[in-house]
Amino acid sequence: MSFFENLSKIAEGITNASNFVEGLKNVSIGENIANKVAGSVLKTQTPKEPVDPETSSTTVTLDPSVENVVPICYGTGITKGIVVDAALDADNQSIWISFVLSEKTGNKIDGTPSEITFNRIFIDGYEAQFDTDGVTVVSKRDTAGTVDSSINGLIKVYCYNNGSDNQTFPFGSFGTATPAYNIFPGWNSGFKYYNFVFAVVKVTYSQEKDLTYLPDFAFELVNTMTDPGDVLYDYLSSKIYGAGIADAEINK
Amino acid sequence: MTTFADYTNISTGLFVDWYIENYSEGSGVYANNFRFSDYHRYVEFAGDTVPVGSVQTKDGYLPLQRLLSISPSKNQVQTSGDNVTITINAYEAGDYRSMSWLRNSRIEGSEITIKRAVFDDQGELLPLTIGNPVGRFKGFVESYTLRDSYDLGTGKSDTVLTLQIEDYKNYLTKKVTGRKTARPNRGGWLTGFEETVPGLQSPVLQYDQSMNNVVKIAGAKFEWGKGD
Repeated sequence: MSFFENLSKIAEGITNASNFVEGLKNVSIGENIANKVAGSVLKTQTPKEPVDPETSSTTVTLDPSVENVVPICYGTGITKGIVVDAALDADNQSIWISFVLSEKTGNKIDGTPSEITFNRIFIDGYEAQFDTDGVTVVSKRDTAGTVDSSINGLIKVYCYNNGSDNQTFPFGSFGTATPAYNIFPGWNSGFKYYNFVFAVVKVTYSQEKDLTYLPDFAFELVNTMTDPGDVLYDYLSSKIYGAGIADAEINK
Repeated sequence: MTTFADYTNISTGLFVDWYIENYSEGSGVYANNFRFSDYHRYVEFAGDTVPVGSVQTKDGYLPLQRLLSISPSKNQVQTSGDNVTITINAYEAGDYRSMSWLRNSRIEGSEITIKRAVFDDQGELLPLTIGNPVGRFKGFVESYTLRDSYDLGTGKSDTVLTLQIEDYKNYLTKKVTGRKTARPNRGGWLTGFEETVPGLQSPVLQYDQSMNNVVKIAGAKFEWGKGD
């Protein structure tokens, strides 16, 4: 009788866990294996202690690195960005994280400045819906249109498309612009984020709303620079992230 | 169509144009072209002129003959990274000893163009359909080495200059690496750059603190939600 024939025979007679293990032993599949199964199946489960909301917490570790390279977004793209800073509020209930998303790109060949805007923002793969201030997330929505409002007010997303002084808002949202260094704990006006497109997120811990983990964020960026010629020119001429070739040496 | 098969005797030479934008012999910095070849005589090509003020006043290519050796380069249609080594044996005699310009000039990044020319048995350029001379390699000096030796027996010294040259593709690949999320990298890039950005004044950008905390938070544990 084959291994699987034995197993199916045992399965027919299963009424409880001990019966199952005894069956395994009886057909000599392997005493050792059966004993291990018995050890795990029959082990008495120790009930967990109820979690005290006052003392529970989540340990968050991040993996920024000085070796990470800032991406450059042309056209439309979704990026998770690179973590470059994090901090807790004074009461440890909110964590702030700064994600660098892209370099701000330069001028097109015709001299028009390119601009990067934020289209949609995704939280755990669901599209975030924003309050009237343009930063507070009121809900997340799946592709079928189902809305989950459990995170209402617990997450704030601040978008910047050209350094700390240039706050922008996701497509369809509006609000009052505030420099990033005025909201992120510990920052001062020296945190310029020169030429960076970046986002600052604030997530507030909540056992009640089951927000005890750091959600996965993704940002859809739209760059007005889309033509291949403009992109190549930008990459060749940028002194910050490109080849830094002098304008006079590029045959446009 | 004229091809090599139409000739019974031909000779060929490699012609090097070395353009050093920041050339200096100690005082003053200016652009300079050095032109030399492994051919046996001085050659001038139509349209080639050295910049005014160059140390080399002649427009043509000086014959270094066997003092010059150039390593082989790739020969393929598709663009691919390549590098070439040029070795110049600068013997004691003549002005070749005066190598102080190597110390004072910005050699790394200077531009090298190598052409190949084909001549008939009279030493005249062949009228080839593909053109003559034709380009063989173009790139930038990535590094150079200078080796001096002195023979105690004969009292002769020898100087060998070796240039390591990368082509455009390799050069751009190394240059286009993006900006790292590191403080020194940002400072290095932005020093002097800010002058070209209207409305932003030096040295503020140099001290942009945006990446100050990258190292500090790497691996740090945040006890998020922990009550007092």
